[in-house]
Amino acid sequence: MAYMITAQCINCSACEMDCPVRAIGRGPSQYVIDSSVCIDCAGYFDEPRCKRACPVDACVPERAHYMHRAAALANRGAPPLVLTRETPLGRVLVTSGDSAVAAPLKSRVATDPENSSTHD
Amino acid sequence: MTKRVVIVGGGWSGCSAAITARNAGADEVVVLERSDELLGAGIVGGIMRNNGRYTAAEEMIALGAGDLFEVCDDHSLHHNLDFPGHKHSWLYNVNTIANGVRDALLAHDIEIWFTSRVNGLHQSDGSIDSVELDSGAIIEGDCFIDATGSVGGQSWCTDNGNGCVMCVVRCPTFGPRVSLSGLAGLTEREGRRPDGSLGAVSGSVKLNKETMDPKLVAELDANGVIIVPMPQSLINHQKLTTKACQQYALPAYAENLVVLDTGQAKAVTPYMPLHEIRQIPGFETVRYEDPYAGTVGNSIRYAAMVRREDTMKVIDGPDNLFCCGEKSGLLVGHTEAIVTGALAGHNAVRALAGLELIEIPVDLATGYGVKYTTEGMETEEGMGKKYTYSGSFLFDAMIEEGLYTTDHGVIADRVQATGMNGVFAHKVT
Ligand SMILES: Cc1cc2nc3c(=O)[nH]c(=O)nc-3n(C[C@H](O)[C@H](O)[C@H](O)COP(=O)(O)OP(=O)(O)OC[C@H]3O[C@@H](n4cnc5c(N)ncnc54)[C@H](O)[C@@H]3O)c2cc1C
Ligand code: SF4
Ligand code: SF4
Repeated sequence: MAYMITAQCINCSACEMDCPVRAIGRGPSQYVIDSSVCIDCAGYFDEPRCKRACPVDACVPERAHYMHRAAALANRGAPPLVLTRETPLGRVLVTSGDSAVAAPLKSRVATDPENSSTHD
Repeated sequence: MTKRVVIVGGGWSGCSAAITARNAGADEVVVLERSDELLGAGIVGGIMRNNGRYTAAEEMIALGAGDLFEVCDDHSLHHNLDFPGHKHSWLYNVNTIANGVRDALLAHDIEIWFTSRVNGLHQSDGSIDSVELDSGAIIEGDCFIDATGSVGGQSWCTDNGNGCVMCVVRCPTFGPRVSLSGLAGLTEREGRRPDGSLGAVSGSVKLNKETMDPKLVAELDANGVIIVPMPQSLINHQKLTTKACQQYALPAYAENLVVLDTGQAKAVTPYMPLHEIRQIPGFETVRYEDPYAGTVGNSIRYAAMVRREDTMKVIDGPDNLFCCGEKSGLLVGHTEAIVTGALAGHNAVRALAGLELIEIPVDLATGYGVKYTTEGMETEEGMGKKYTYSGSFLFDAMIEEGLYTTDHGVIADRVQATGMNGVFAHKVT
């Protein structure tokens, strides 16, 4: 097992400095843990150090199929606001559930318009 | 079959790509933007058509990608302004420009998604199938354009600058830039400063006009520029070497505070302690408009560039990935972003139609600049430079090659001679 960092990472670098085996580094858009180096802090600490250091709970046990589904800190949960020629002031797009495929409004397939509240 | 082009990032380059993709015949074009406004880092800009950017702007108009230049011209407060090292600049109003661009995009039937940060990507068989937003929404597409810029991420501004100084990019609120190419697993290149450190500090700040001496403001509004000598104690030549914009790395900018009227007061200095600016006559009570903490630093750019062909197709990446703007290289500026964006949007549709991709020929200043940048970035020395039609190395080279001109007739003839007149305005099939 190893730990991983979710997309909630705010790039603060706290974990990088705390990791006893230097498994953490800056990736293209957030910090990443090298799973071949991470030892879950076994032998060093009772609880993984990054988990403790991270201000946004982004360090979690590694999952095989991580899909960034956790509600991210970014946008403070603001849903997408979609502007089109017909709705130039925008419509708030509410997507329901993990499997929501949000096709552009013109050819929306899986998003129920009932779930979209208008803004204009 | 309906073809959809998905553009990640609503800066100048992404907006440009959206328009040419639509004009080239994409049935649906969607721009995904992480913040609540278009134009990204570029909303602090304002300077168009200075030096070789004039030639580039007129070439793009002749090539059929003039929409955004027309929006800038419509929103211009000052025309043909000269200030140190720069001739015939047009300054647009930064307060109104984003709405102008938004309306231009909507008029082209382009969808704009705000608060829609991409942070995941799904691929199969060497192509991108869809991108995923923070909210979990999945956007499918046929072709994707990485227009995510090179600014942002608190770690960048911390490690290579003086920390987040709360610029208009607003990473702590909307989340840092996430690079589409990065998500696709591509290694990105980093620009360097002459001292070897990574990235570059953005080269200008916005000051709040209402907190400046009304007499200075009146002069600024009337003339478009004020050049205020700095007290001797403040002159700091050293600072110039850290700037992103080599075209402003001239002594005149160290000895004076050069301020341009972009609706806001745009001061051409990367940052400056507030108590020091307040020592300059007329600025005694001035406040920063952007970045809020301009006392200690500015945003850091050129942190994440991807390898691409001069068609803007990403090299060694998924087969339906293009890039533009600062993501496509050490190209500084709106004009430069619009040029690379136009190529990316147009070629994305060509790729979908199975057609050969196009480059802008080197007989034109725009095409020459793209190639010059590509070649420059192959050397270590070149990675320490910045490329813009408006000054420094590239502009010098343009003059040497005889490509710089402000004569509309000459530009029209040159574009005609390439046989590419209006190419970006027309459907590819
Ligand atoms: C302070 C300052 C002043 C400047 N002044 C001028 C000037 O006067 N004239 C001039 O010509 N140039 C100027 N420039 C340079 C010019 O603005 C830039 O080179 C150009 O605008 C870059 O455009 P871009 O589209 O490549 O990137 P950006 O403007 O950085 O746009 C990238 C966009 O992508 C979005 N984004 C990033 N990641 C994601 C994601 N995962 N999902 C969704 N969206 C995402 C960002 O929010 C942003 O809107 C200035 C730059 C700065 C910083
Ligand atoms: S501590 Fe958390 S937020 Fe900070 S860099 Fe590490 S994973 Fe990212
Ligand atoms: S200064 Fe701007 S780009 Fe840098 S971290 Fe802060 S908001 Fe982001």
